[in-house]
Amino acid sequence: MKNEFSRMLDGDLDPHATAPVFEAIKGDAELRRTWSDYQTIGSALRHEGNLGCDLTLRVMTALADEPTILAPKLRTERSWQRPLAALAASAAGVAVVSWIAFGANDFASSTRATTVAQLQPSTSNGGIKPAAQRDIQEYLLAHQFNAPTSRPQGGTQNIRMVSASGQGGR
Amino acid sequence: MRMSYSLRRSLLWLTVAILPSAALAQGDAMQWLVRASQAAQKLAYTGVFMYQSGNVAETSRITHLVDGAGEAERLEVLDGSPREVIRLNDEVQCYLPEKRTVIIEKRPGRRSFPALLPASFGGSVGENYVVKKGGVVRVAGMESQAIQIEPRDDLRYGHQWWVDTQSGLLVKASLIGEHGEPLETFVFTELRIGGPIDREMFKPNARMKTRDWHVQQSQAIAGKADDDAWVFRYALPGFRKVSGMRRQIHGDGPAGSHWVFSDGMAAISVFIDPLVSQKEKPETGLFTMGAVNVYKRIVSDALVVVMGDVPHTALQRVGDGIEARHK
Amino acid sequence: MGEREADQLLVERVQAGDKQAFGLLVAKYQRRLLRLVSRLVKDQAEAEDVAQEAFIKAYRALANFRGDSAFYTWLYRIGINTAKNWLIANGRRVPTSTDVDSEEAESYGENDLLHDTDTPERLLMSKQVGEVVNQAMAGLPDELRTAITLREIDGLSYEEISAVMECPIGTVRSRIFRAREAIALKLRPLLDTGPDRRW
Repeated sequence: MKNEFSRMLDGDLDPHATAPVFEAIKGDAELRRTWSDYQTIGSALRHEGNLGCDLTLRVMTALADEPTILAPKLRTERSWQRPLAALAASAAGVAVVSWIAFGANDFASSTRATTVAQLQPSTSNGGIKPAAQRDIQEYLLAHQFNAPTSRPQGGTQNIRMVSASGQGGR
Repeated sequence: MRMSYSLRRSLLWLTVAILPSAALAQGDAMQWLVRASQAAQKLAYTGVFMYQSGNVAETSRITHLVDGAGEAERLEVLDGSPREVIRLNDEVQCYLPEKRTVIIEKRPGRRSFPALLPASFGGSVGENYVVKKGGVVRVAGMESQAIQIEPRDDLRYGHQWWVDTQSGLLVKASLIGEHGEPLETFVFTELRIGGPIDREMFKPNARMKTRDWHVQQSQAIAGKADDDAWVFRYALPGFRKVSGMRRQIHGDGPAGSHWVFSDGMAAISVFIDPLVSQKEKPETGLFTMGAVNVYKRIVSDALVVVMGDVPHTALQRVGDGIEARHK
Repeated sequence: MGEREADQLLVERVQAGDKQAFGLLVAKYQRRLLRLVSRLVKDQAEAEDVAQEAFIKAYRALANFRGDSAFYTWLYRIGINTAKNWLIANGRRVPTSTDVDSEEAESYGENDLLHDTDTPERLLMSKQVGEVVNQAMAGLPDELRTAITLREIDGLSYEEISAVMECPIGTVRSRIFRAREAIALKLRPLLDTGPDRRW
């Protein structure tokens, strides 16, 4: 039961599988305490603060005299669409996260130095040319569109993209 | 030999733990990074910022919102030639009125939140950069915490961030080059955090009359890039593959492959496109666009383009190690 | 399913007549709500009273909650309004800055020590809980620690964790569960000295 419980907390349990879990919670104070403990762990990990505090008992006690709600169940399609799409995407395995790991000796290769030296010629910055916008623009846009936005402001990617797209027209 | 699994994993939770001395300092500074990344994704805000790189200096407005319908973001250039980028969930539209073109791209197969989550990159960022807190200064009238993000090797650039202490939003950032010079800087000159921000604000400017414009659907086809045909001999330490797709870079040509790698801060794209043999050979070598560098070479009748906000050495290392797999 | 759908499931259970299930929502969101309320109502004890009041108001209004917004978004608004009304009723000044009204302006990762209106006992308890959780995390096998970090901090779904960790989803379930149990084991003796958690 506790395993299902853990899954329900994370939204991993199918809606129709939740009924027995809810039933169990109704009858078992230990189980409810476990839910609280799991939530505390999550709160602690996310630094939500107030970890020494627990209002649940006082709230539930205060609600003891409140009438039980019986409201008609409304279900809209919309609220279920997103998770299905997310499931489909991950099932398709499109976003691939994997390490490319090779032996450390691969990087130690000394051929790098000679390659760079060859590119040292005439221009002052070591043979590095400013990119001609026309050639590179489509690549740049594709790169910026897809670079991961671990940084804020849409990733500086979008900002660079806007900026780069302007230079071609000048 | 893989990067030690246990090292990687133990760095993951370092962001959570309270540990003494240096680890504590790194963990604390890292929290600011995590906070800033999350704030930018979750907060509603609108502001004006200046972007500068080399001799490009532009002022733009950015507006951002997350609500029941997802994430929306809009960037519009306020001076210079008018341009806009509008992002709604996974679709990005780039309006270029001077070229009478709008470019649209849907990120293939992405979920509705970024594929890379800052907190888990606490491990990756920590492995590749040393993160330290600087002082507290005022930026655009907001008290901001400076954060130094120093690369651990010469395969990546450094960063300086300034994070608004109240909202956690990044208000100023610079990419720092190999000699300590800023390669690009972005800084807010005015910023309003919180509502009211509504969806109307994400429609393109009325000037963007796109009816007789050229519409370029950026051709990214969901599905794995051609992993089988190519070998990447040289791995870049700290970078991992985060995306792969087939892509038609030039609208009507054959599809090539596009991979994206990231180390938590920087991103590198590798494009491999078959050469259309009738055309003259494209220029190869090292190029720079200020913050973004490019390395091009020709391998087995294909053009390899390696691009990213990293030093040339990194791009070259990746590019030089690409070979066609012989079956 | 995502967070919003998971919460909606709890809401619907309460709406179908299971009052106990509301406690699951309280346990889940109490700290975030308390932090929110504390920004307006500075005294800790009063903030707790206001947070409790907000939960009660939410329960009473729950019959009309249709899931048009996420549960916490809705609860957040109730929290703000309850706090403001409380301030007015007690002759206190109501802050007017717009960022208080915006859900997204909740701050993250603040050190508890910044709340100087906390009682020393609460502060100590909170700090100790944090330390025990950290120590327990340190003692976990790598794969358990990774799994629970990806879930609780990064908010990845089980499917996503399964892809990242390259293991079957059943393994993800097991790892998260075992991580929780291991940490809870260390945490319980400490929590047992605090306020009663049996509701």
